[in-house]
Amino acid sequence: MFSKAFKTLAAAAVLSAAMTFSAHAESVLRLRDVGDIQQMDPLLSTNYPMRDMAYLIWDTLFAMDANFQVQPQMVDTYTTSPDGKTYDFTLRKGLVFHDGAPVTSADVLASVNRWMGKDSLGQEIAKRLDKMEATGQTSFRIVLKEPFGQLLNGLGRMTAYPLFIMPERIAKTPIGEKLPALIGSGPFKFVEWQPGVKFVVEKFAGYIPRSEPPSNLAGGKIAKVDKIERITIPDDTSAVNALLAKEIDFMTEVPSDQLALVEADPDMVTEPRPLLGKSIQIVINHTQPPLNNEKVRQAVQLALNQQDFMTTLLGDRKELYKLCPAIFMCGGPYETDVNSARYMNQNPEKAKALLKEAGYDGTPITFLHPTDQLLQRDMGTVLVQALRNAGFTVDDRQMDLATMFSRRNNKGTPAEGGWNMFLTAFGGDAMMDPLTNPYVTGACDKAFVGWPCDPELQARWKTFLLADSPAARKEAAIKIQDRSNEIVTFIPMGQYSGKSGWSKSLSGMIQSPLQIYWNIEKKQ
Amino acid sequence: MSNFVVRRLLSVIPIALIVLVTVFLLLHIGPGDPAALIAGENATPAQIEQIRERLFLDRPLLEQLFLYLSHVVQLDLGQSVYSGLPVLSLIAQRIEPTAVLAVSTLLLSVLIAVPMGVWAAWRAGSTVDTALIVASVLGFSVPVFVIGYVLVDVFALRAGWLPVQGYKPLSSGLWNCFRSIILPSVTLSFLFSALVARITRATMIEVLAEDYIRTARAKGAGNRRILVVHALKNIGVPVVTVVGTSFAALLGGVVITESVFNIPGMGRLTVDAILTRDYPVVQGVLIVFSFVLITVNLLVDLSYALFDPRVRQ
Repeated sequence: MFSKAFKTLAAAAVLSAAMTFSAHAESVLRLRDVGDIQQMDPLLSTNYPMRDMAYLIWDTLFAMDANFQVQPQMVDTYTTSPDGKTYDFTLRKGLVFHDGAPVTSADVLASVNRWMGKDSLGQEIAKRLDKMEATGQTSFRIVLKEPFGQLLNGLGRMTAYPLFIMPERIAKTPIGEKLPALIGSGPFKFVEWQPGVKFVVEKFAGYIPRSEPPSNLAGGKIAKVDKIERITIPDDTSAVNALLAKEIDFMTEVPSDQLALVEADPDMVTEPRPLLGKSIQIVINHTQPPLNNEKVRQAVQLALNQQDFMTTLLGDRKELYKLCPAIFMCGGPYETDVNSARYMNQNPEKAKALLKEAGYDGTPITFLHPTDQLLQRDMGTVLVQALRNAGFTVDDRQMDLATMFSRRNNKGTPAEGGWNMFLTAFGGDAMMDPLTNPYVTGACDKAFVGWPCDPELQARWKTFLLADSPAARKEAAIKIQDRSNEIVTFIPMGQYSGKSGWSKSLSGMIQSPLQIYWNIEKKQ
Repeated sequence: MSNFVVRRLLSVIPIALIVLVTVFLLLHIGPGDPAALIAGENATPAQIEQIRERLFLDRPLLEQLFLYLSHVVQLDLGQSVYSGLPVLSLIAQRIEPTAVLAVSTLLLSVLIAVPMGVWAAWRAGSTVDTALIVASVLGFSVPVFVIGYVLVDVFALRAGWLPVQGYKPLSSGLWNCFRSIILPSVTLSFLFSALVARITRATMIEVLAEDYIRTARAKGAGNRRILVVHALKNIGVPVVTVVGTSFAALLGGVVITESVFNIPGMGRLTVDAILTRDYPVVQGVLIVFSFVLITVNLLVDLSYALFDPRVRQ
């Protein structure tokens, strides 16, 4: 009797210990990123937090490596016909969705179709598409009407908008309608999303990573933690406190005024991230006076100084910023300093002379100035003063960011609710490539707000689009920068990188222009 | 009495309607285009227009108002324009933290402030009284977020006794929930306690100067009897009134406290929705807030009957 009871107790103790161990063994990466996930359709908006989580859930056919070359990801092998029009692809073996269904060519074709309806490069591919068909359960063919060197770049598009492969039934959802389920075939599967609170994914045991080492978005995507919780903490100070108290493990961007606190903690690591960082841009409306005059726009270039902007943003932390002449980012594949002298050498007197030559009559520049965003509030103040010093009249319209977003779409005169200038920032992932840099198409009404209209720039952009080798693309990109800076589509005001902070218990961070969360290991 | 309750309940309807229409007009007349915000940085005008159509933002204002009111009558508060989730379920997710924070702050404040106010009034002019006045001035003057950060620094970062941020729901256990709410409640109760303590003190000083207190003393009643039986009951009405009417201020404080302590409650939901022009969410939250305030005021009115028998007649 006693022996039986003892055995039962012992078994219970062992079981309990095993359960306790397994409960403790679960590793959870808790992170805080800037901003919040607004919706979860990767083709509905360019929301970065959503995109970075989407990369965990959905996989891509190709992916950009650390040298910004596309490499196969879900694709195992592919061939191109000698005439450059026919591409045959075979998927890797063993790819399955989170619901257990195998990834088939039907899923791929439906996903590509949905993507081509939204992405600008996808639309360029669609224009040249002859047919797209399944050639087997896991193989498919794309036939183009003419050779197009950007096809693989499109299929491996890094951002705005990446081509994520979804199950066919989900990929048939029209863009704008809510996706019926967040099912992908990526290394993590969706668990829970409470908007404004947290987004949770867990390791997908059925994922088979590539054997190559991870390199940016390419290579093996290995889930080394059981769960990732993206916690929304709107207040920077609270987030830093949470990091120092080890309530979160990773903070993608530590505010510069609180970096010293994190750096002083021996249990913390800080490093500039993401790769390439962000750049600040002055956006100019080409359709409204006085900035519809090229010489006046060039005078704006001469009025400004990148150093002032960067000092305003980061003080004496020189390691976190670059004075960068390239409109496609310094450190990117298309870096050049061509035709950048005006905005790299501030000269208010020369600006005044140019204004006189242009016949500037003192028409005010209506500047949209969001004051609820630290970056735009402070740099906007610097910008206004620099313009005034160079002889411009400035109408400094202070507002909140939402109002600025709304007003910048107004093509009317400032009196009708229009505008002349605003200041913004884009990530290096978008700015580094003429196909994702929003400013350089010169496509008039179809261009990004500001609507620069220049046939010469359009032609140079098209040359880049059709270039079939890295060298030809580089040459075309240099010509785009030359023209873009001549007509002043926008003015780059410096390149900076935030610093991420994380606990020393983490290892395996991948540097990328995006935030990548696979491969991160957490010591218990 | 029952007539009074029914009348008060019915008065909620026109008030709620006024709130609904006002909120709708304020949001829609104000600048800022949710379609542009949803579409993101790279969006073309056509894409923005597409989103505007989907959200009915291209319809005339009156038509939008009518559509909205007809849905609200059916208890359909719409969907968040961003997440696509029903507003009611978003509110349901967020109401518990705010309710727990508000109730715990209320309890903490009343439990601290009423005895302090009574004590200070009893010892009017003494050091205790002066200390209370200084403390209440500080409670009024120091911003809630400053108090919050100081408490976090001392009790969470240095001492490590309490969490820095976050909220543990009641379902995770009473102790877990209590731990996560201690610092936010204490932070918020500074302001509220200062208000209640000052009102309690002032009212108590007035009551203690009344003839019936003098009569009770003359009849030989002890201090405790004078305070508890004769005085305390008579400060009930003004104290309950100030607690009720300052509930709106408490909800304002909740917004800031939730941000400092990263509590995913109604306050943060409101701020996020306003900043992103998520109209359905803002409208839904404001309806809930206005109903809460109306209910609190109703309860305050009803509580008068407990303190003052004349009200019952």
